[in-house]
Amino acid sequence: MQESWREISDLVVAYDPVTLARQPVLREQVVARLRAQGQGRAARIVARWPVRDGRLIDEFVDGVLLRAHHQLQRLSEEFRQGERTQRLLSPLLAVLRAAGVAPPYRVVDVGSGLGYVVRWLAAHGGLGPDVELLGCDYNATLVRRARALAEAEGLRCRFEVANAFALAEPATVFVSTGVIHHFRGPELHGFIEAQRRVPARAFLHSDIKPSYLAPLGAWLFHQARMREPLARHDGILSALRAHEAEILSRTASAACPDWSIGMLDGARSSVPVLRVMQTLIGVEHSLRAGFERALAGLGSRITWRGGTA
Amino acid sequence: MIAAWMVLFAVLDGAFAGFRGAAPCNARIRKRRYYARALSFGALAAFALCLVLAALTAILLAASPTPAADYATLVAVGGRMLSVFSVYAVCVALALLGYLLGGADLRVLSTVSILGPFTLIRPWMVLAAVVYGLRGQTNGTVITLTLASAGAVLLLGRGLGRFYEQRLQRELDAPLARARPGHR
Repeated sequence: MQESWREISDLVVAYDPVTLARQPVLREQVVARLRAQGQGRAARIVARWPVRDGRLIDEFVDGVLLRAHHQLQRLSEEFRQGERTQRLLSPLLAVLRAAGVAPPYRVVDVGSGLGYVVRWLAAHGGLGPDVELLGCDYNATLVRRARALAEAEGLRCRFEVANAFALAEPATVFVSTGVIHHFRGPELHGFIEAQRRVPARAFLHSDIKPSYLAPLGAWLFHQARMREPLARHDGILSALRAHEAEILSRTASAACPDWSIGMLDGARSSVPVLRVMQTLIGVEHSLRAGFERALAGLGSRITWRGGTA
Repeated sequence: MIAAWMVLFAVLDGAFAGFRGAAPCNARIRKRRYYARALSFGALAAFALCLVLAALTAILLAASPTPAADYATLVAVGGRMLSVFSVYAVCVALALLGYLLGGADLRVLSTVSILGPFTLIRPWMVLAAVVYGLRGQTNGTVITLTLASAGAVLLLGRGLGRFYEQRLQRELDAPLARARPGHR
């Protein structure tokens, strides 16, 4: 895999960085870029999509993304992403309360898509009435769908088309699932640094754990579970592009030098089938000792950069 | 007895096919009832398919000059196919037990090592069972019925998937239709 390879979903939508307004995307540009990078299969997928005046049709693209995100949620359910986030978030919130941080504690999901984790936390998380759950995404169609799903089940959470790092009411904790591998190099540094500048108190970013079995596993699961060609392509590429734990924790340490950085399940395993996800954890130094105590058994699976508190 | 086991496996497979078809088409969080309905719908569809196949079997056997011998051959073929299905079913059942009753690690292990891969190999497993069941077989009626049954079971899975996909698409299209100019 080449470092420049990109998921189709990254290329077929574009937004104004300030207004977040949808920008037109020329199909031939996307196809040419994918072909130039040796992503022939991805190019063939996009080349079949309809255009109007050479531009990809927003409604069609959103339809594909909606279906892909529905299928993706199936994987999140199977790998229990909601529960995984809750197991870290609950102790973290307990520590924030104990440290006297004033409520409400705003948990913001960055790139929330259909908001599975946020809605799962609202339904099952038992995080407390002082916690606000908010999902942010640039795609208005996904946000509308997330809102409709939350409303249908009467869940206490919100979804906004917004830059998660520029909210009027800033986040206390940032979370994400399967998002962080979309950022590379300086962009990854900027993504993490932005959270400290908000200023949030902590972040929890879960993503696929790279291993020698991850590409095969991703291929297998996306063939078995996904039906949209985009979802199959992007899912496998996500496993190939997943960051090594060391890269994530080193970048996070550089971006947040005054925070404690840890990785849940980041340690390499000879049989990597039990832990297929890893979570980058960042907490203010002052919160770390309490957080480690509150984590109890889970704490043994976290490798902190720089050792013990 | 062989026929009863085949029907049981077909109904179970239909139930799982209903679940598989429904699962990626509903993004709600609480959906036990939805899953229960999908399992029942798949099982019922598979049972109905079994009735159709039983009728087809009866018709073909009635038209055969040697119905008793053909039926005995069918049972023998079914017995061999069952041996393949049983191995698959036991693996899936154990993985499901692990998923439903185990801790987080066992759930992931069940998913990663059995439930995911076995979904992918299911058509190949059915094909393997057909090849093993029909080995050395030259009886046209038996071959026709075996291929028709295997094909119908696989197509049922596809059909259930399509059914739920179309239902989701209608649900997704509804707000877009409401948003179009001229819609009242």
